[in-house]
Amino acid sequence: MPLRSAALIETDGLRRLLAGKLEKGVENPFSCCVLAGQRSTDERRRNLAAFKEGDIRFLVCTDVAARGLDIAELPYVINMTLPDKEEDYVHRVGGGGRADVMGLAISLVSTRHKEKVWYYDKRKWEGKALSTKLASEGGCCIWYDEPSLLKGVQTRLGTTIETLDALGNRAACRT
Amino acid sequence: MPLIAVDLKGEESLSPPYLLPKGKEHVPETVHHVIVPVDPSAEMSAEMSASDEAHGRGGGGGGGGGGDGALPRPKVTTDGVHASDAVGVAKRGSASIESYSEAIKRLKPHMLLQVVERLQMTQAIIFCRTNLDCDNLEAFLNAAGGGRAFKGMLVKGVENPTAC
Repeated sequence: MPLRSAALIETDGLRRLLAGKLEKGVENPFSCCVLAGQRSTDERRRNLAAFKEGDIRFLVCTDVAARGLDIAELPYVINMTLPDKEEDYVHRVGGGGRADVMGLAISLVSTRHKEKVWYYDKRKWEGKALSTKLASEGGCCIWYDEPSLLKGVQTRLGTTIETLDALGNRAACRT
Repeated sequence: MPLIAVDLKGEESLSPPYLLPKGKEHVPETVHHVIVPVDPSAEMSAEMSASDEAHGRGGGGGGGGGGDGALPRPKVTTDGVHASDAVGVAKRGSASIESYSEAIKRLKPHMLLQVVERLQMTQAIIFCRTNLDCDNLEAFLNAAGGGRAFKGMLVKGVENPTAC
């Protein structure tokens, strides 16, 4: 059906496909995949491949899932929360295969307040209702002290980490 | 000693004057470090009202007001730690440690979007603390980008379903 074919070629994706240039990440400007322990090995492998191919823009992962990742030429690492071990910070920002590429490690850090978070042994609490009491009271939560963790990371890096002031744009974004 | 100075307030794109001290083992010298401070006591009310406005606009528009970079901001789903605490809508802006904690959870995803847009990132790895945080952030990002989740290698309705 020639008519149908002509119409198809006009579709954006196919035209780029024929040109050998797949515009990546067009479906969703914040397209992302999760690489975390709870997903199946198969899904993790697929997600990592999609990220490497450029089909998705953001790879959301935990420290454990990211171990041994080798993704070349990655300009940005973002920490939604600082890890509770300085070693993990080093692992996150210094992953293999990126040594020759300029990278920016951006950490979103609560600089003044602690955050209450889940912290419990999965096996121990399997099948039980989680408690938001603190672990010290037999519950599943702790107060996560990010201000202190930041100090630790800075000590580890041997310097104060400069601020990326994203808030300056807020007014502009809203108007 | 500052590692890097990036001024996001200015309109010009990044031209980073990288300054990095030598001798930091294990951390590649080609990686530079910055933080985005999150301080709910200073930002909570502003951010909450901003996201609520955006949310209202998007819902009213029926289909999301999707101009360039003007997608409505979705609501943040948190890890639910404070689900049974008194930090809900009525208590917004109150100064308990729980409400600050809750505000941190709600602020960070929005600030992530700002950082991504301001630096015009094409790709990044985003680290979360837990699997649950990963899942929540994935849902948030997908919603922020128009609601469509990634479902495979550009397989769309118009294409041949057996294309490879």
